[in-house]
Amino acid sequence: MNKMKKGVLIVGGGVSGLVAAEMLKNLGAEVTLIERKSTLGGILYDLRKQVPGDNCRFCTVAESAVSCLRVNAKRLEGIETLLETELTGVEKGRGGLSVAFKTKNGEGKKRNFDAVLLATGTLELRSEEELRDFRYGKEQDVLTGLDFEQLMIDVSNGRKELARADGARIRSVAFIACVGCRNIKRKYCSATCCSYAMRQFNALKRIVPDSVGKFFFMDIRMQEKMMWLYAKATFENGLVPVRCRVTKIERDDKGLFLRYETEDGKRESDYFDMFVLMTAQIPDKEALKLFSSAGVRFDDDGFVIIRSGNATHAKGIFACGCATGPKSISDSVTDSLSAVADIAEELGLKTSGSVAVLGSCVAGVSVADTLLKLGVKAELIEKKETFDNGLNNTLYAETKKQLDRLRKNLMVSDSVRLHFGTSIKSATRLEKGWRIIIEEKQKEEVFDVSAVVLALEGARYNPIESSNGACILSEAQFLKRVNGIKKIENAALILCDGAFSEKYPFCGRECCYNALRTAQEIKKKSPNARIYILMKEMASFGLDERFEFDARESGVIFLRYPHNRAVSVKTENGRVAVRYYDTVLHTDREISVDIGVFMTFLIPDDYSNVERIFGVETDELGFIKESEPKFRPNQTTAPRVFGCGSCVRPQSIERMITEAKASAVLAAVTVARDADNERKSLSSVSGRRCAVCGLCVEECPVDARFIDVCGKVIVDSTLCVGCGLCVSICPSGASFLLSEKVL
Amino acid sequence: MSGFEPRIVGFLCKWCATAAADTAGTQRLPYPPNLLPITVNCTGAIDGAYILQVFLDGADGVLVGGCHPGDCHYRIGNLRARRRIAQLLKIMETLGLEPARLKLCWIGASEAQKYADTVNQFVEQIRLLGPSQFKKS
Amino acid sequence: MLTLRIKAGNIDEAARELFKRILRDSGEDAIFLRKKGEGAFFPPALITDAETAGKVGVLLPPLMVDNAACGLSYILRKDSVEQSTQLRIVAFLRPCEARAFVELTKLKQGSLNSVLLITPLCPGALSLEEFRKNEKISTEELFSLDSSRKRDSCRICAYPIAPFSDIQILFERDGLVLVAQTEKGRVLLLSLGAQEENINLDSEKAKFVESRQKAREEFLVQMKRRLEGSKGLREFLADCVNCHNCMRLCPVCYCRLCFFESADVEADVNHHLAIARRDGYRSLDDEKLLFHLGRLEHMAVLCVNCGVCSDACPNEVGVFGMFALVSDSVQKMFEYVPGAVLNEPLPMTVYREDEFRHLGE
Repeated sequence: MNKMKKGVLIVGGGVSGLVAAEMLKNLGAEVTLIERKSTLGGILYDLRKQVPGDNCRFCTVAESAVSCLRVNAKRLEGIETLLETELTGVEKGRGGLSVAFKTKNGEGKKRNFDAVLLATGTLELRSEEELRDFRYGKEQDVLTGLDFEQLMIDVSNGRKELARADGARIRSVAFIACVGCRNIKRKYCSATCCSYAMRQFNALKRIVPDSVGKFFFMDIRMQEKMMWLYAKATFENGLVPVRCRVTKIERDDKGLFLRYETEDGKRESDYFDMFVLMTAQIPDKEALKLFSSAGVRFDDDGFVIIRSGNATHAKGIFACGCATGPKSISDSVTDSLSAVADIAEELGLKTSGSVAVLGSCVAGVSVADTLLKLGVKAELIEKKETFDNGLNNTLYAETKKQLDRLRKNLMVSDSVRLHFGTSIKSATRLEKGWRIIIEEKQKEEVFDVSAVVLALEGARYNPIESSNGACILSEAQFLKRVNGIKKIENAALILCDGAFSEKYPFCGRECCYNALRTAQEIKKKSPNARIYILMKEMASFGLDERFEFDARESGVIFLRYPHNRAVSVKTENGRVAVRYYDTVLHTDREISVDIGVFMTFLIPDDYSNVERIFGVETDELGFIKESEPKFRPNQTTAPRVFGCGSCVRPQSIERMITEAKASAVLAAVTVARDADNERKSLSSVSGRRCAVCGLCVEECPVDARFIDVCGKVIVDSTLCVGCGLCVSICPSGASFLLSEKVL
Repeated sequence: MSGFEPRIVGFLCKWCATAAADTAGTQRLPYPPNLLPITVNCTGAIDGAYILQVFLDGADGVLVGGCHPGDCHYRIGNLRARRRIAQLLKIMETLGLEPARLKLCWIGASEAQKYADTVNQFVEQIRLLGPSQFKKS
Repeated sequence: MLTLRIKAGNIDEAARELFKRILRDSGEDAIFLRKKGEGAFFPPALITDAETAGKVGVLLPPLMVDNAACGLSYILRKDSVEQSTQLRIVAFLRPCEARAFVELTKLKQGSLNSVLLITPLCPGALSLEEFRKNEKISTEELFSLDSSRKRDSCRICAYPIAPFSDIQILFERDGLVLVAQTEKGRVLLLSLGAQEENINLDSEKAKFVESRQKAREEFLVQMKRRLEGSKGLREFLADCVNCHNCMRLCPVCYCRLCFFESADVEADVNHHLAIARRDGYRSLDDEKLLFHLGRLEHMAVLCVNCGVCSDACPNEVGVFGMFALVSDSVQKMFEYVPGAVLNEPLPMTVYREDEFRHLGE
């Protein structure tokens, strides 16, 4: 029986490895997870808590975990977990990859796999040599992020005192971002330092309520949806932000101090009791080096280069998570799920069943495409009369071609039904899915699906344009015109208008990236063009930072304006006057350009319809809310309903495709779990005892129960996790767990 | 009271509390053997009636150990438990049934020392209180 | 407030007139109320015929031995999921019965969609023993009767006027004064010819509550003294034979099979032997402690203090006192008044992030 199953090796037992292992197991692969350490979780193991809830939910990463993964690393049901095991060789074998590894006791093994997923993550820069400017290694009071994390754990466990090397109480702490990256040596951003520093300050404040903290940064990069609000709350909690370039830490007879240079060129220094360096995230070159002989390509910094999707240049080898570039935990999860989609396609892993997809723009089409590849039928429901066409500009030519191909596939496939001009009238829960009633061109139809993926359109923020809109364009308009314009002398690209505001307290997460690439496009056509980029924060996360370096090198001028002072753009005498408050010169300034472009971002639309029909919720920002933002960023709060694209968060087109693949995988895995005959229900209801009071339905944390039209309590056994909350709330004992008798 | 060894029943959630207890065991942190651990999937799964049953059967103390608020594997199970235990404590207080014999404790997975300390302190507390009033002898 | 006055020779006559008029003139499908029984009791009944209602309906039976919320729930329970709004039943319930019914609707054991609640200002009622001394007692006499002759739970009742109701009934010497409280109530009263009037319900309520307040405090203090510790509990329950009648009559105990009667609480012979060895003996009598404490744990937060549990007890154990004491402190802790607010969620289904912070740390 096992010979029929396809074997996948997952290299690395961190977040992305664990998630991929879980999903591939559910899709029918034989999964082996190999990890060098004796513990699982990668960075999660070291982090006591995660943002933004400041809580630990490590155990929820993989549903196969049966107990706390910190302590019981081997307890992953159905996944062969090899801890303290290292790779010693990789070869292309007959029909697959031959991998050699060495276990803890020196035993060597060789196995064949049909696919390998590189999920090796990143490591924190801790080199005393590289960090000598900060006296790291020389001073007990200069720590990296993980050092500080461990210190916080020890202090809260009572194992250590929070004191300086000389015994004095710690009161002031400096948190320094971008140490060892965003420089010539590493032209990338580590993606997580800003959020990390903020969480650590909040943790410090809880232990030492009168502590003071300062955060030294160049740009605040909080790319996750709710993180800007978290940043604001952290500043209110007492973290003082200081925008500057940090140079070094020195010691004199008064103590340790930090030297830095503010944006307007002032040289400053400040004394602190302790310094926390948010150092660069570096790829695990040791673990990855064996793969170059197999054909995997690496960039100059050691990250895995992706050929397309999550596939490397070596057939059968895929990569995800931080191995391909620094990213946040939830981005790693999404990336890992997207890799699962690619691996499943490669290995022909399929399940059956049918899933409804709401929306037919980029996200919806990508979801449907991935579902089909996984053997799942799709019911694509679209309000408009034809495919939703959100993309109409040249910058995304590649993506547009891809999209056209996908649409054509969908139109000819037997496994997808396209419902245009259709709206959903109602949906009722079934024991394993939803019964949906649609109205298509005035006709009603009913069908059952196992899951639903929301890929609804969002809306786009529109900055206020001047009455003479000739030379002030939105990005879409501008890109349409780029082809028509022979030569551009000067252009201003204005970012962050409307973002980081009261109304839209978040980062658009695509504008910087788009602006930098737009600047590239302009430079290609007019190498001598003078390009200004105006921004509140330059949020080119992770490897996107390289675009910023390129832009600077090619002469693009970056101008920062304050969060609370909008940029004004007017046409005057045939020129475009851009007025802004310059934070370096501390004065209002005007620049004159040929073209001014507002780079816009996605904002939430009205989702009251799906809220009403499926019971999904929207968050404070108005986007669809996730039930587990950290580890399942595409699962909504309604059972068997997933979400991706602009309805869930603001993001770039490329990211939407990744999220769409991730959502499709989650939906397909739900279908696969439904079909798994070996999966037993974990809880049940005694029909005779049950008074149908509905308490267990309300109590269930995963919405696994509902009352059907006949007035019976139904348990969705795929969703039930056997927590037992229904057992304790039922006064009669009608609800019970089917697992081994605990009480 | 000499020679009185308190018999404590511990309802420990299988995620954080059991992890802390296991670690305390492997790290050989000293704590007395008076506690009989019962693993529950979540502290929220504990019906107050079970705790009452345990007291009526003669337990001198009951310790309920779960994850810190926010860390619950099932998101809100421990918050449910908190309300339930608060209610049970109130009932015990109203009827003079020594609510000090019931203790709720949040123990994170990495807080093995806290687990050992908590068990230690609780056993001593119960030792001072003496045997449960539900025992007749 | 929209008010309807019904005058007659006395209160009971006015009440009978009211029942007739509702079924005749307002288009309601039925009324649910107590009728004169064949024996001493006043069973709840569903009546569709106006003449019959006028003949047998009783607004304020002087005797209370059961809680009519059970009966109303029994009739409506099967529809709860569908929540039909086609039907309309006008239900006359005492304040404690109405409060219990409201709680039952939160547990889907009945729905207010098809019910219009009418609740009288309640002077209290007599126990069976007192009632037998004067079965012909009129409602007027009931109002002026000394509270010491009334049931314990009535003597100390804090809600003589139902906190939630569609129509309240106040009393005057020669009749009834119906006051609409909700839109539903207004529509019904308008169909019977009601007018706008200035009525102050709070002052009516205050008159009753004040006199009972002191009695209530004294009663609870007494109870606390008696129920001190396991010894006090055992003494209090000395005459209890664990028949569970109190639970059966309790309106908010809605379980089909009581947990404490199920196999879940049974232990095997070795367990019983172990306890016998430890204590010298194992009294099976002790099961009742688990029953009462467990029932308190499950239901005290919803207890409406109707006192029917004491009426039901064959050995006059006075269970009501124990529930009054515990429900008082538990409901205060959760700031919850059962039956007061329709959509207020049950305390065991909610939690707040920042409550009981002293627990667990």
